[in-house]
Parts: sequence; C-alpha cells; structure tokens
Amino acid sequence: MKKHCSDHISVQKPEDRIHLVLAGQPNCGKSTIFNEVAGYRSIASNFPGATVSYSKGSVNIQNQTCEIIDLPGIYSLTSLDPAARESQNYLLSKKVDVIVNVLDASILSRSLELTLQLLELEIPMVLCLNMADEAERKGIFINIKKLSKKLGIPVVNTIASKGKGIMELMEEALKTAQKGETGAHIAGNQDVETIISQVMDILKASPVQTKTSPHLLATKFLEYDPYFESLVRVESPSTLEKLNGLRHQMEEVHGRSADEIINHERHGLSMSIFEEVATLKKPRVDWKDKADDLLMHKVWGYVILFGVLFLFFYLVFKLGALIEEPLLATFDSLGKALYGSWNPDSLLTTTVKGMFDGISGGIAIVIPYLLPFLLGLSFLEDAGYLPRVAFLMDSFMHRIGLHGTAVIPMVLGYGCNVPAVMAVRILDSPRDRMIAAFLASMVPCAARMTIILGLVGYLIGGTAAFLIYVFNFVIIAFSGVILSKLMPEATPGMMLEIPKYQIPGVQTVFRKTWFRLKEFIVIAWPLLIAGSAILSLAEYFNWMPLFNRLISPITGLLGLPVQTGTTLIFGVLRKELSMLMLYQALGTHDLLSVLTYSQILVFTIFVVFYVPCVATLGVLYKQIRLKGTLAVLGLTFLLALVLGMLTRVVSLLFW
Amino acid sequence: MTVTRNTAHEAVGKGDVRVLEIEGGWNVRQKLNQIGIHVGDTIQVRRCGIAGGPVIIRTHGTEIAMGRRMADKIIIQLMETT
Repeated sequence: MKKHCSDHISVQKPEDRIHLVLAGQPNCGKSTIFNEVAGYRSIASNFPGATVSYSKGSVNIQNQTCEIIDLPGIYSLTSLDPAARESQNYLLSKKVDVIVNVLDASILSRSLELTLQLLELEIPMVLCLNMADEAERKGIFINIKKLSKKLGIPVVNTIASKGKGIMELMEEALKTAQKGETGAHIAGNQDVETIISQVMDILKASPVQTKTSPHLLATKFLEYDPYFESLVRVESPSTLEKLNGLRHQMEEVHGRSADEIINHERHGLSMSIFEEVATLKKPRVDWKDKADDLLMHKVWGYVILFGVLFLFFYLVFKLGALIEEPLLATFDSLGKALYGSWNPDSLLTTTVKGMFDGISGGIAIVIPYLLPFLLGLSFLEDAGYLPRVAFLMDSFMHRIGLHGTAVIPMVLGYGCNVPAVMAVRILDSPRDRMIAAFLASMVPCAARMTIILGLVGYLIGGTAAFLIYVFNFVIIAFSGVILSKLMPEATPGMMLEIPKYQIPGVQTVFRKTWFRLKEFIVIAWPLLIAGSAILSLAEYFNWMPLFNRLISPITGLLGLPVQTGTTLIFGVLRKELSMLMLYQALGTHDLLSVLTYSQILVFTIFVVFYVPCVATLGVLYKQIRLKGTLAVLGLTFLLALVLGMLTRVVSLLFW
Repeated sequence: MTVTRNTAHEAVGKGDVRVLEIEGGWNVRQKLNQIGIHVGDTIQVRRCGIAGGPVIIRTHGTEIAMGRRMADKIIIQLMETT
C-alpha cells in the first residue's frame, strides 16, 4: 500500500505540484533556507535572455512533493535592475501557489516595504521572520501575533543558519497554499487611496487585460514603473493618456512627483507597522560592531586585506601541492595497471591514454588547488568579508571603469578563470559584466602560474616571475581603462549592503563549495578530457608538423622555434599543456640549451596573455554570448602578439 | 536656526543626520528608497573610502556601501548640538 502511494506521487507531473516561491531582499537568508530544504537536488536555471539565475528544487512536505523556487533577492517590485525585473516577471506570469516572503528580522522596517508590495499581488503568502536572534541582539523584539494579525498572513520565526523553524515554515506554507487565502489589504492615506481606486476604475473600464492584481498595477503605474507603463501603452494608448492626466493632477496637489508620494506612503506604512509590532531595547554591543573600525580602516584595512589575500593564496598552493603529488603518483601507477600491458603503438592505447591523462589531470592537478580555493572563498564569503573588499577596492576599480563589486571575479581569477567568469553575474549592468568577464579572463590562473613559475621562475629567476605578475596586473588595468573608454556608460556606481560578520556554518560552506566544484566538473572537465584525447590522437597521426607550419607566421613574429607552434595550439585546451609539451616538442628537458632567455620570456608572456582556455571560453559564452566571446578571443590574441613582440625587442637590449 | 545643507560624505562621524532631499531623477530616488534611505529619515554616515571611495551609510539597522557620486545626491542636515 505504501509503495503504491509513493508511486502515485512520482507520477504527478511537476507542473501540477504545489509551487512554493521564496522571495525576499538580498542577504535575508533565503538561499540558506532553500539549500536547507532542497539541498543537493537543486539545479540552477537561467532566466531566458538574462544571466540572472534562480534555483529550483523539490521538497517533501507531509508526504507531498512540492516544487520550491528561490528567486534572486530584490528590494522592491519595481523593475529597476535585471534581477528585480526577472523576479517580478516570475511572480506575475508563472505558477505560484504560495509566496514565502523571507525577511531579516533585524531590518524589519525596511523589509516590510517589499512585503507590502508582495501582498498587493493577492497571492497566498507566508512571512518568514529570519534571524530573530540577531534582531534581539540589536534590541528589536517582534510580536509575531500582532504582525500576523496586521498583515493577515501566518508568520513563522526561523534561524536559517541553524536550521531552526524551517520545517514548520514549510508546513505552514503548504497549509496556506492549500487554503488559498491571501493577506490583508493594507490601506494607506485616504487621498492616495482615492487616486489609486480612480486609476483602478479607469483600468477596469479600459481594454487593458492583465493577470496582475489591479491594485498593484495602479500603484506601479503611479510609480512610473517602466514595465507597467508599457503594459498600458501597448494595450490602450488612450487609457494611458487618461491615467497620465490623473497622475499629473496628483502631483499638482502634493507638490512632488507621484513616485515620491507612493514611496513615501509605503515607507510610512511600514514604519507604523514596525512601531506597532516591535519593542526596542538597548542593543548589545559585541566584536562585530568593532571589527569594521579595523577591517575597513583607511590604512589597516588595506594591510589586513593584503595579509588575508597572501595567506589565502599561500595556504591554497601549499595545500594543493601537498595533495597533488601523492595523487599524481597514484594515477601514474593506476594508468600503468590499466594500459601498461597493451601495445603502446595502437590507436586504442593512444586514445585511452589521452583520455586517462585528461581525467587524472582534472583530479590530480586542478582539483587539489580548486578545492581549497573554493573552500576558502566560500568561507570568506559567508563570513561577510567580500563586501568589505569591494568597499576597500572601489576607488581603484573606478580607475579601470568598474566599481568595487567587480573585484570579486578578479580575485577569483587567480585560482581559475572559470569560476571567475561565472562570478560576473553579481554585476548589474551588461556593460560591467562584459568588461569584468574580459578582464577576469586575463588574470593568470593557477595553470598559467605553473608556466610562469616553471619557466621564468625556475630558469630565469623568482624576481622575473614576480615581475610578470606585476606586468600582467598593469596590462589588465590598462585594458580596463581602454575598454571602459570604448564602452562609455555612466555606471550606476556601487550599491552594496554590508552584511554583518558571522561565523560561517560548516555545512553551508561545504555546500557552496560543492555547487561551484560541480560547475568545474560539468563544464571544464569534459573539455579537458576531450582536449587531452585529441592531443594524443594528433601525436598518433603525426599532425604536429602540420600544426607547426600553420602557426609558423606567429612563431616567426615572436622569434620562437617552429616546433613551439603545437604547444601554443594545445595551450588553448589546457593552459599548462603549453609548458608540458614544450619539453616534448623541443625534444629535451634542458630548455636553456635550445632557447635563449629572451625566447623563454617571449613564450611565457605570449602564453599568459593569448586567448583563454576552452573551458573559460565555454563559460564566457554563457555570460557574454558569442559576440563578447569572439571579442575576447580576437583582442587577447592581438594583445599577446603585440606584447610578445615588444618583449622580444626589449629583451634584446638586455641579453 | 539656519538649516545647513551638506552632502552625505561631509557627515562622516557626525552621528545622526537627517535626510533633507534626494537629488536626481527617478532611478536615483527608487534605488535609494529601496535600500532604505528616504527624505526625512535619520541616518548615520559611518565611514568614507580613500581617494573618492565609497561612503558607508547606516540606516534602519543596516549598513550600505555606495559610490561617492550616488552618496552625494543625498542632501543632509547636520543636527546641531548647541
């Protein structure tokens, strides 16, 4: 009987299931709740045409499978940025059975402004009062019963980071969805309400058809929301004219613009609800309040920032090296056991060996560095340090045409360009995403680091290797200046909430790391395996001379031996291949016997700057589309060529 | 008493100040309102980045970092303690 029951559930189509939608302001803990209930089973999906993503998963509540959707954090329903526009679109057009409005209890007064707008959607809703402990620390005590009564919806207390109250929240959400009850209508000032109902009357009599609640449409129209305005304009221009007249009249009476009136009204309402339900006591002061005096200090802030970054990378590389060696040895013997007894000259052995190298390269060379890096990053992120970094670096980033937030993908780039390019989605404008993705793909990743250290560092000297990093940094900054000149646009500037510090939860850090690692495994690793197999096949069929001849114009310009051509092609598949193959291509391990210092330097500079690796190109395509990716390809190639030739000429002066 | 008008970054470390006006158009107003800064609100300007860097404003129990250009659209009145 029980089995039959579960069969029945799995037969139910996902679109027939109850849809729970998590909505709330950024940093309210929405995603923590989502991860808690949907966990590993969730998938990140992209909104069509935008890079803002929402996550979808399923959750079992009282033996019923429900779909749960985590929308990007939004401050209001006004479509001001892509995230808000897409969230708004989702709420207006998709199947939503119940909204779970998550809010940070310690910022109740501000968060209620979104709640009031969500209530206007007239969809069943549950309020999740998260981080009540933090609110109490701040001296804010909230009377849940009063709040629930005032808004006409259930209110549940949670502490998401500790997993408290989440099951209760889900059960309450399911109950509300089944009942289908919507919240209270909270009326504001009489004369504003009169105008709103006049607008509603005109809309009702007009041919404008909409699924949206008329009250929301009316207020958003008065607020000059471009989305709602165009909705009316498309359906009935004459209605728009009538409404414009009404809006103008309202502005005459109040002496300020209609959006100011509506916003002021909403602000007043949330403040009065807040004052009604909350009692304020003296806040407890602890280290979290004092930490920023040091960490964001004009001098000490930077000293600590560089200390933290240095320690971070030092630990990542130390730890990576520690894991890499035994892993490589294990794979070496594993490989021998696998195809050691096979005929080494057969096509099969060559293909298998190539693929095996790709698999082992992913596990033994990339993951040892990527894993500690991602763990450390998730830790810094959850502790709340990254927004402080953005604050400290803002004025520098402005010089290169971006703002502070863009420093995050840049820093990520030093580990691997793939997560770095993915991280540009935190930026608002497409122009900023374009420039940041471009620059992030130029940051020397861990693979390029092995080349810089292995060639220049080992053969010429540590100072020279360090200077390449400095040189790269200067070129990136310079490229930023040029790109922002080419794409001039007044960026809205940074607007970032500085969250409270917190001790990151072990579970959330590991989950975040896993989600990011999965992106590498799914996108970059298969390309690496395929690239490695192609490389073996090229060797097998003796395509190398052909490749070398193809690349000879480039190697000629750079003054490099013709044999290095192949290494440049395969460096696109895996950056570190350029160096590994160099020994093979030149037929010696004593590179100084065949290459001059100048040639080593030219080779390294070219490899550091020329086109991003295949895996990075894959994510670039996802973030900045074909045109952007082609631009990155063409421009970085030209840049590398020019810099390579420049290095050739300049280094001749020294050696 | 004369009302002094200052831009936000001039109020660093001056404690509570009142928002008199938000300059600029619809976009600026919406953005600032959403994040919790309205005309008439009491805010604190906590700190200010170096070399024209961002300004950190405390409002409604949370801290917001914003670019100097945006912050300077917030016209504030220093509370006089005399």
